[in-house]
Amino acid sequence: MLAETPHAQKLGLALGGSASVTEDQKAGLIEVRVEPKFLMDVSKKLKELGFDHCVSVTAVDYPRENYMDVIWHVSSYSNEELGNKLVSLTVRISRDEPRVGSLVGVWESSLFSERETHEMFGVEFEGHPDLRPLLLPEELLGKWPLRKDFILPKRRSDLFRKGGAQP
Amino acid sequence: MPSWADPVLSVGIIVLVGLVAPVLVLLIGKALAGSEHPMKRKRFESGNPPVGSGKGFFSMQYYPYLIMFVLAEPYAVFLFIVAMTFNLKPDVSGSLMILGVLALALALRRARKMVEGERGIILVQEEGSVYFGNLDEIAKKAGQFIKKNRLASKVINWGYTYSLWPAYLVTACCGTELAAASGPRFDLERLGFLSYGNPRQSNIVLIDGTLTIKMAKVVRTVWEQMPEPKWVIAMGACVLDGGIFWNSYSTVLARDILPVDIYVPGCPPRPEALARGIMMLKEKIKKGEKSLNQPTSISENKEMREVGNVG
Repeated sequence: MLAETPHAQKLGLALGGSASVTEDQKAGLIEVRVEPKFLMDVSKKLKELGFDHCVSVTAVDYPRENYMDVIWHVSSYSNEELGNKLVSLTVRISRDEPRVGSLVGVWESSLFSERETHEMFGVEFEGHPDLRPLLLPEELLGKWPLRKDFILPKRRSDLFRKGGAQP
Repeated sequence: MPSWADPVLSVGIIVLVGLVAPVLVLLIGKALAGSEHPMKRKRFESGNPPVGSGKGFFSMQYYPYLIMFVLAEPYAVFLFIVAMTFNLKPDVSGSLMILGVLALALALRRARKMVEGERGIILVQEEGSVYFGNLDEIAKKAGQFIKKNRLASKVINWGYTYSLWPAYLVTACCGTELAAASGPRFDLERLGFLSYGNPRQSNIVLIDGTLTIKMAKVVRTVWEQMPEPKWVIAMGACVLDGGIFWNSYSTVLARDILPVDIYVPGCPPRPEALARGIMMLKEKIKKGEKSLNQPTSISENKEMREVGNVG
C-alpha cells in the first residue's frame, strides 16, 4: 500500500519538491513520480543520495488512457540502509510519441535494460548511445510485443478465442 | 592339395569377405537413399552455424578416430592373421607383405580408373534389359527386396527400439526432469535411451520445454541434420498447447515445426511419464507407424513469418 510515510517525506524534501514520493513499507518500495522534464535532475540527485545502481528498466502500457509509464528501479550497494529499499523512478509519457531521456549517463547499468525496453515497448530513449535490438528474433522487430495491443500470431488465436485474452 | 594352398585359401577367404562387405553396404545405402534437405550436408554442428575465427575447418576430434579405425586397426588385424597363417614372427617381413598387398590394390584401382574413366561403376544399360554391371539397377532391386521382406523390416525396427539416441537439446525447464530420468534412479538408458551430443549420430528430437521462435529454428535445423529414421517426442504442456506461456508473443507449438510422434503432457512431466512416452514410441516404431503431421520448415512457413501483426 503506497502512502506518505516519514521516509517518503524526507526523500521528497531531498529531491527538492519536483517529485511526488510515496512508500510501500511492507514491500520496501519507494515510488518516485516525476515529470519528464525533471527526470534528469531527480535521477542525479538520487545518485548523489546513494542510490548507485539501476536494477531494471521496464514500462507499463495503458492503451485506453493513451499513456505509458517508464520505470527505473534503482537501489544501493554502498549504503546498507538504502540497500534495503527499492526506488522505482516513474515517468508518465504519451503513447503516441513515446520519447523519454536516457539515464545511461547517470546509471550505466541501465544500458542493456533500456535496449530491452526499447524493443519490447517501442520507447525511444533519447541520448542512449546504442539502441540496437537485443533479444528479439527478426520477425518481431518493430512490433513491440509487450504492448497491450499486440495481437498474438494468427495460428494461435483459434485455439484461445474463448479465453478472451485478445484485446 | 599342396601344402601352401591351405593358408593361401584362408587368407583369400578373409580378403574376399573384406571386399564384398563394403560393396554390399554401399549398394544398400544407395538403394535406400531418399530425397534430402539442402541443410543436411551443410557444415553445422549442434545447430550452430560456424562463424568467426573460433570455428576452425579442421576439427581435430574426428581425425584420431579416422586414423585409428581406417589405418591402424585393420593393419594390426591383417598383421595378426598373416603372422598366424604363415607362421611368421610379427616383424618386418609381415609388414612388408601387407604393404605389398596394399600397393597391389592401389595399382589395380589406378588401372581400373584408367580403363573406365571418370564414371566408374556404370557399365551397360539398354532399354528393356539390364546387364550385370549396372549397379544402380541392382541396388534398386536389392532395396525393393529388402523393403518387401517383412521379417527384415521387423528385425530392423526391433533394433531401432533399443538405440533411441536423442540430441542434447534442453530448451526449457522440462530438461530437469529429463536429467532426473537419465540419472541412476529412473535410468532411461536401460530402455536404450541415451542422450548424445551430436545430431549427426542421433535419431530423436526430444523437445523438453517451451519453444521460443529463436529456439524453434535451432530445433528444426537439428532435425534436418539428423539421418533417417528419426522421431520426435514433445515433452511438457508448453509445446503441446502453450502451457503457462500460451499467450506469449514468442511461444511456438511443436506441431507447427516438426512431425511429432509422441506427446508427453505435464508441467513438467514426471520421469515415469517420460519413460511411458518412450515405451509408447517403441510400440510405434515396432509397428512402423509415422507421424501424419508434416509441417513445412520455418523459412517456408508463411504464418510464422507474419507473426505479430499489430492491429
